[in-house]
Amino acid sequence: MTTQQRITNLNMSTTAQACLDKSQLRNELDLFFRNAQPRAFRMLQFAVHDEQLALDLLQDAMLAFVRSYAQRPPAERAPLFYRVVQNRLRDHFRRHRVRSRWLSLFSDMGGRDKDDNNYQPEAIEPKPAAWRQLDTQHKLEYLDRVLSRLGARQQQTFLLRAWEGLTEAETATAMGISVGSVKTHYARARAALRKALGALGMAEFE
Amino acid sequence: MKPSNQQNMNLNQLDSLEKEAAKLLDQSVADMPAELVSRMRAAREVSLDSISESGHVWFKTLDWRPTFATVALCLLAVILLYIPNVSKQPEQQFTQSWLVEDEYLLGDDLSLYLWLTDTTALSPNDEG
Repeated sequence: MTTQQRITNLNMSTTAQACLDKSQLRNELDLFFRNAQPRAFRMLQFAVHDEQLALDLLQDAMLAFVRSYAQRPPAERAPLFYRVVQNRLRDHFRRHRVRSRWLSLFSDMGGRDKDDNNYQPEAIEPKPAAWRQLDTQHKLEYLDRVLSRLGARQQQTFLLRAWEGLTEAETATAMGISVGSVKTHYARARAALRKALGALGMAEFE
Repeated sequence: MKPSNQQNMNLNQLDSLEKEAAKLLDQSVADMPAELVSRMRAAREVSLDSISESGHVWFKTLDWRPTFATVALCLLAVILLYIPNVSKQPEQQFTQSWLVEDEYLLGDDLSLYLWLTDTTALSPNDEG
């Protein structure tokens, strides 16, 4: 075999290996996204209360994650992915705050109602039904309301810890805050949930 | 404000609440409408396709290639425009040395001078 043939074979094997790596990476990320994407969508939906906006933010986050962190080890993927998601969420709230300032300025000038841009979700309406007697749909509806009423950080901390199962350190990495802050937000979220769901007659959680 | 002792105590009691919440949230994901699932699948495909488009290290360098090429061209233009003497000096030196050497050779060969004189005298119109 000549040197030229060896070089050609080497180039072909390198290209084939690169294609194989890319295909393998794609499969791994596909599996990861199949699990993480719907959860991340629900988390964003809880935060922004808008399905289309949540989908857009999630798409941005997924593209950014693939571009920047696709090559990271599988164990690091979840905290990094949720970090990208949380960054997108933070950017959205920052833009929303700036836009709200301008809009409130113009609405003041135009004499419109200030509450048009109020981003607070509606208050919970407790019903005297026992938790066990409710069907899943109603339970989920209550939980949605309670979670939506929480502050953004408490809500996201609770979801990342209790639902996604991230550790305190991973949650801190994902949210860009200290472990101490994670503990505080998580404790407050749990207390708020207990209080709110307890008011719905959930004796087993009191 | 840090969580109070009462809240810390509750952290241990609320495992059932977390489990119930996680179960309900899982159920909400499982019950997502088909249209939403389809849109999420499309979004996933778009994201995964960007691996083959961008993916690796070469993508990061690709963005910089036009910049580097432009900077290199600008540098080359500056060198050619503002430092012309550097490129011309060796050429001039070579020409001068060649002329000197040629003159020396011509001076050495007197018969060639005579032949040249005869040739130009015989055909004066050819020069003009």
